[in-house]
Amino acid sequence: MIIKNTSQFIILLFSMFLPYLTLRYYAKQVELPIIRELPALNVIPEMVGRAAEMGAKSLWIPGITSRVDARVISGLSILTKVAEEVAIKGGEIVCATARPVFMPLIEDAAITGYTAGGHPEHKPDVRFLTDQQFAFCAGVMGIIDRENCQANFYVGGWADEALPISAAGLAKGAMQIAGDTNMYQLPYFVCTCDYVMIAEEFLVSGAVLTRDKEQLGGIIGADLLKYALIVLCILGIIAASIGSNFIVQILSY
Amino acid sequence: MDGFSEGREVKVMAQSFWDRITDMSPRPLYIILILAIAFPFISPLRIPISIADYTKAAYNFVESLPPGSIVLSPNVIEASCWGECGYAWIATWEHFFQKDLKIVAISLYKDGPLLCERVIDVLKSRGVNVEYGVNYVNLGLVPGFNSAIAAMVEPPDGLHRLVKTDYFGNSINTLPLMSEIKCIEQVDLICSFTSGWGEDWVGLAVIPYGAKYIYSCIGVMQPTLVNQYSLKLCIGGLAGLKGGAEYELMMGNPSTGVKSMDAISTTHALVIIFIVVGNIAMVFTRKKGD
Amino acid sequence: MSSFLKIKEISIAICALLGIIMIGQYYINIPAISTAANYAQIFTTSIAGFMMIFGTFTLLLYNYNHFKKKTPGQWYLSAWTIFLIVSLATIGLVMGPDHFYFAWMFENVFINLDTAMYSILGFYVMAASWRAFRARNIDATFLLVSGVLAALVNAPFAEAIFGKSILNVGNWVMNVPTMAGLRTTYFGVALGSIYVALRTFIGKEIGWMGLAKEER
Repeated sequence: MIIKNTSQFIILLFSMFLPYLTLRYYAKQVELPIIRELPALNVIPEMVGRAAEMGAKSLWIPGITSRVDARVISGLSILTKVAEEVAIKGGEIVCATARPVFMPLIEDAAITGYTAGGHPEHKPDVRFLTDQQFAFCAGVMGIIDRENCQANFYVGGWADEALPISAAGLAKGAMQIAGDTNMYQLPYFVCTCDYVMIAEEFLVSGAVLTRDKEQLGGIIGADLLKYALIVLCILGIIAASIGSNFIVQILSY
Repeated sequence: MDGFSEGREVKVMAQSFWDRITDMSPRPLYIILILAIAFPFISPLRIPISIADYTKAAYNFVESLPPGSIVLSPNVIEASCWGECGYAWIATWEHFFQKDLKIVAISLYKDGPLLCERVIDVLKSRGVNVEYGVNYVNLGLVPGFNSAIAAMVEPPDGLHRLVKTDYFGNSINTLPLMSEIKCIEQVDLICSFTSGWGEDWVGLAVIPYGAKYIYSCIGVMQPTLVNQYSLKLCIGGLAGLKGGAEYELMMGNPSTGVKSMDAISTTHALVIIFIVVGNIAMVFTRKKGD
Repeated sequence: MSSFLKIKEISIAICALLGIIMIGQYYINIPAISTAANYAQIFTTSIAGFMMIFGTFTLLLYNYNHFKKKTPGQWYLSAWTIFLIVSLATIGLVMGPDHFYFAWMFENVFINLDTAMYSILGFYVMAASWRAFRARNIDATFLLVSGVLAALVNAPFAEAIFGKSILNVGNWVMNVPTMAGLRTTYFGVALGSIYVALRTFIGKEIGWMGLAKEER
């Protein structure tokens, strides 16, 4: 058979095509259904403005993840927005990374933001510190302390360095936003940051920031998939309770 | 002093106790923490340790493997996590060598190869007989995380296409053990040690190829282990320092892991005490505020 | 030629093609796709190795600039960093990573320093448990209670004092509500990641493409 697992293949196609269909559908629609605001994104201009007034810097970190995955791409979208605000309001942004492979991506995302803000001549301050987790943590804590970073954006893939870094920012009195899909670090971010984007909120932040009808329409497709999953879970619970294997057999076909 | 200012002083002192508790500098807490960690090593408490189901399951599976079985032992451990995961690593590898299993160690993070050698040194000092190339191979660092995993498990010879030399620069064709393993199909057990870098053995080896998998992780990732164990995606696993201590007890060879559990008990008790005191202080300062 | 390669659509097409191959290898039984995916994985592994070298040189350059400019509060740290990188790399390259000197520095300096930094987490958790873990509202109370139960389940003293009942309660919290929340989050993250991948393949997500300089 060409298809290894039919039901999994159908689920994958469904998961990709439904958001695509809603994306194309809402591109043509005048009105979009209401999508919940993400307070973390609305406060970015205020944070950058506050840092600029204090003569302090903004700090953006994509965490310790080594892969350019959905989290880093969403983090880069936020960086573009932050860089745009920095270009408009003044101040500087420091981008610290533990992965050299991200550096060209970060530079270009920052330059895109500066260009959108009307200052394409600005050069981004992108620093590779080290790829060792806690050495990176110590380096960032030093940057926060020495360079007085007052608007901190921890958006990406984080591990155990989340708590010390965000606690260092909290001790400095900085405003902080965090976004991650790693559930183990989110409690620490919730304790130390002003705004936290949890899991999928963070992943759709790139679409929300563009305010593009098409991309916001795609979010609705992803939400419809979640409703379908809830229905499937309820059917599965009922089937399992009456002793039927029906749902499992369909999903394993 | 006149009566007016005396009364004012008494009133200020009565209000400030819980406020002082709430606003206290953390330095005394750090000193208490250091003492709580150090004390059990000086005077062991010997609190009994119960063994989790997933640790028992992992141990029993290893016990059931016939001699000569091949264990692929990837690690994504940083040097910093040695204190948490190192004892589980030592205990499991000691069990593997006791059962005459063969270990192919591969590191997905750069600290891994030297940590593998550290484990071997500890085991040799305990009298474990290890012959390099015959019952143990250290393939060194393979960068790329999930890309490396996907490449090495691919039949028929993914591992040989990905890795040409071992950590010491020897061609893998000169190592007898490497002639027995070419890809996931020859692996009887995958026992990974991770500090949580998101490597996906379940999605890349267990589900597509039906590999048997033991998941040894840091303590904070215990919910992931419980999740995989309950879904039967892994045979079992070891969670952090407690997992290492449990495995040492199952081996009948209590060592540093078991000794460290008393420190875990005292520090966890301290966390709970601090939480309770902090919340009581919050209640009293709120009442005073009202 | 170079301006042709920088056309946005070329980057999107390469990304989409590779993405479809990498996803397709898990679902489709065509040997050509599996082979192409395998080669792509090996390429990625090789690129990751090269980027380590790139990162080292970037780090050296950054610290050298600070050392040359004598940046106050920074230049001596940069000098020390350069010394450590160069000396350790020289010892490792010349004598080999299994040489006594390199192994000694790793065992007795590096591991201990790294473990010490990791241990700082414990102090932060202590300070947080005193100041930040407060039952300010109903959500925080649930978080607190489940956190305390998790701590009790993992500490042997709890079973010694409270008996097996505390383990049963803690394991129930771990196996039922925690698992439910974790799996729900996995679903949401998976769907969100699929949507980000979709946007990347169709060219809506362009922040990563590196064409900003040309578009200026």
